[in-house]
Amino acid sequence: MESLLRVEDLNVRYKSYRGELKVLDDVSFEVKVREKVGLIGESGCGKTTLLKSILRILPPNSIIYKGKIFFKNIEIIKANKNEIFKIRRENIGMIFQDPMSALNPFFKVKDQLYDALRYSVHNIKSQQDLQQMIIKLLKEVALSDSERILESYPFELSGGMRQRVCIALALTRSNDLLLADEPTTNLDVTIQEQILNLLRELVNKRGLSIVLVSHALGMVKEFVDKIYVMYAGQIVETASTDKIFSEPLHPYTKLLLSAVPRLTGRWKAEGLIGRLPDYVNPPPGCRFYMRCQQSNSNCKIKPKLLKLNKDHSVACWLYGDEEH
Amino acid sequence: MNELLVVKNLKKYFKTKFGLVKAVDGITFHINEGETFALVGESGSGKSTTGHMIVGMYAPTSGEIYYKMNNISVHASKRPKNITREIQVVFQDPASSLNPSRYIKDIIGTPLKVYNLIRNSTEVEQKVADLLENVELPPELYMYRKPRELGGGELQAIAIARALSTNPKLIILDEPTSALDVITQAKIINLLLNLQKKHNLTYLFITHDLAVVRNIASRVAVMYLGKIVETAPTIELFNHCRHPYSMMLFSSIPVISEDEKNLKPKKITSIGEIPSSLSIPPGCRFHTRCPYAEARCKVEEPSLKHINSGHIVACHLAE
Repeated sequence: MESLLRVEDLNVRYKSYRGELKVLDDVSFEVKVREKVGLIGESGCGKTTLLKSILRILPPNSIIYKGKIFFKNIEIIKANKNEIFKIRRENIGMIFQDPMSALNPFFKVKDQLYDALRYSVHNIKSQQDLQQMIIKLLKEVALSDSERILESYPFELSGGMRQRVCIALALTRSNDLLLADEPTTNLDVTIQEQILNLLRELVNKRGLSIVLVSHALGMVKEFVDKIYVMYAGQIVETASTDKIFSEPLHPYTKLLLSAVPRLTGRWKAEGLIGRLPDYVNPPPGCRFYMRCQQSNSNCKIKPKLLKLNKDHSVACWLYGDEEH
Repeated sequence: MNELLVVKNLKKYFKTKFGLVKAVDGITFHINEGETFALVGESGSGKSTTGHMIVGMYAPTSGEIYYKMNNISVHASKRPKNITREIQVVFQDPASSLNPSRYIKDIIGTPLKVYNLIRNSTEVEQKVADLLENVELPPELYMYRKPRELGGGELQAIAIARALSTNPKLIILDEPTSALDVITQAKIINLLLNLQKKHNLTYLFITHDLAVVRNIASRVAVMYLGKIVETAPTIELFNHCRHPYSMMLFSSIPVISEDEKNLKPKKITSIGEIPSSLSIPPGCRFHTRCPYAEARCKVEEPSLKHINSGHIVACHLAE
C-alpha cells in the first residue's frame, strides 16, 4: 500500500523556565492509504504532541528540533503557510480530545460549521447550497434533529452530541486523513460504542486513513489495523493489532496490557512504580529503563527500533541484541 | 453481615427554570460493613447525586438515609460531627477538587483541624506525613508542594489521603479513576484495595467502568434515570444479568481478549442517549431505548422483582 503520511526521526521540544523539555525523541511513524493506526501510551507520553506536529498546530513555545514529516510528498515542516493551510483545509482533519473545549461556546453550532465549510469547500454557489451541505453532514454523523442542533450553542448539547458535531467539523476538511485524539475519553461506554461505530462507518465509506490516539485499549483493539506503543516520547513497539495483543514484546507493552481491568476477574494489576521521566533531563538510552523490571546495563544506550519481522518492530535490548 | 448504610426510597428533585429535574427518584439499597458496593450507570443517571446526598452535600427531597441506624437524611451541617467524620468522599477530577495553590500539608491538615484530631502544629506535620506514607507517597517529597505541580495519579492519592485523615468508615468514591490512564488507574485501585484491607473501610464506588467493577465490587446496583433497575452480587450480575439496560452496558464494554468476549451477553447494540431528567418517559424509563419493549412497558412502571437471593430487577420481561 502507498504511504500517506510518514514521520521520520521527529524531535519536538518545549521551552520552559527550567530548560528545554525534550518530549518527542526520534519518533518515526507511518500511515498508509486507507489504514487505521492506533497510538497508545499513558498520559504525558507525547501522543498529542505528535498529532499536533503533523498539522503544525503546536503551541508557540515548541521547537521542532529535528526530523521530517511527509504528507503525500509534501514536507510539512518546511512547507510555507499557503501549503500548510491547504493541507489543513482539504486533507487532514482532527478531532480534539475534549469536545467541550474544542467548540467555541460563544457561537451556535451552525456558525461554526458554516465557517469550516466556507474555507474548505470551494464550489459553494449559494447559502442554500451551504445549508444543504451542513444538513447532509449532520445526517452523516447520525444527528437527526438537525434543525434544533444547528440553532444550539455547544453547552446546550450532551457530550455525545458535541462529539458528533466535532466529528462533523473534522469531516468537513478531511479528504485523506483523520486524526482522532482520544475521541471517546469523556463519554459513557454506551455512547463510546456509538461514536466508534460511526467513525468506523465514515472512515470506510469515505476511504479515509485514521490515527486513533487513546489509552482505552479495548477500544483500540476493535478499531485499528496497526498499533504504535509510545513511552515518554519514544516509540517502543509497533506491530499489527493482533500481534500486540497476542505476543507483546516490549516490557512496557506487557505492563500496559496487564493494567487493563478484565471482565474475567482476577485482575491483579500493580500499576507501575515511579513516574514518567523528567523531560528536561531524560535518561540517556531507553527512557523506560528506570521503571523496567528486566533492565540491564545495556539499557543506558538507546535501543533502535528493530524490525523483527514484516509487521513487528521493538526497541528493546532484550530482542536481537547482536544486530544493534 | 452488618448493614452500615441503609437508603430507603431516596429522592432528590432540583427546581430549575426549565422545570423539575428528578435526579434521583426513589432508590433503595443497603451497604454492608467492609464491602465495596458499586453504583453504575451513564452520566445523568443520578449516581453522583446519590453519593452527594450520603455525604450530606445536600439534603434529600424525601426518603431516608440511615448510617449505623441513625437517620442522617439532612444536610451535613445538621449531622452530629462524629458521623460526618466517618463518611468521606473522593471526587472524580483531583485537579479541580484540590486547591491548586495550597500546600499538600495544608490540604490534608485542614480536616484534622476541623475535627480537632490534633493538639498543636507539630502534630499536624507528623500526622500528614503518616497519611502520605499511607498512600505510598514519600512525605519529604510531597509535603510542601502544590497540586498544580503534580500529575493526576499523585493528586488522586492525595485526595485519598485527605479522605482518610479523619479515620472514616465509609468512603464515597465518585468515579475516582475515570480521569486517569490505565496504568495510573491500576495503581490507584490497588492502593484503594490495600487501604480497605488495612483500615477495614467500606466503599461506595460510583463509576461507569464495568470492567473495574467486576474486579473490585462485591455487589452492584445499575442505575438509569434516577432509578435502580437491577441490583445483584457482582458475579451473579455479570453471569446472569436480566435487565436489558444492564445487557446494553455489558455488551458495550470494549475487551481485549477472547475469554472476555465469551463472557459478554449477546449483543445489544446501544441506541439513543439517556433522556433528560426533565421529561422522564412514562412507564418503564428505559423503553425508548429498549429493543424488547412491549406495549405495557410504555404505560406501566415495572416494580422490583426478587429473582433470587440478592438479585433484584425492575423489568416486566424478567419473570
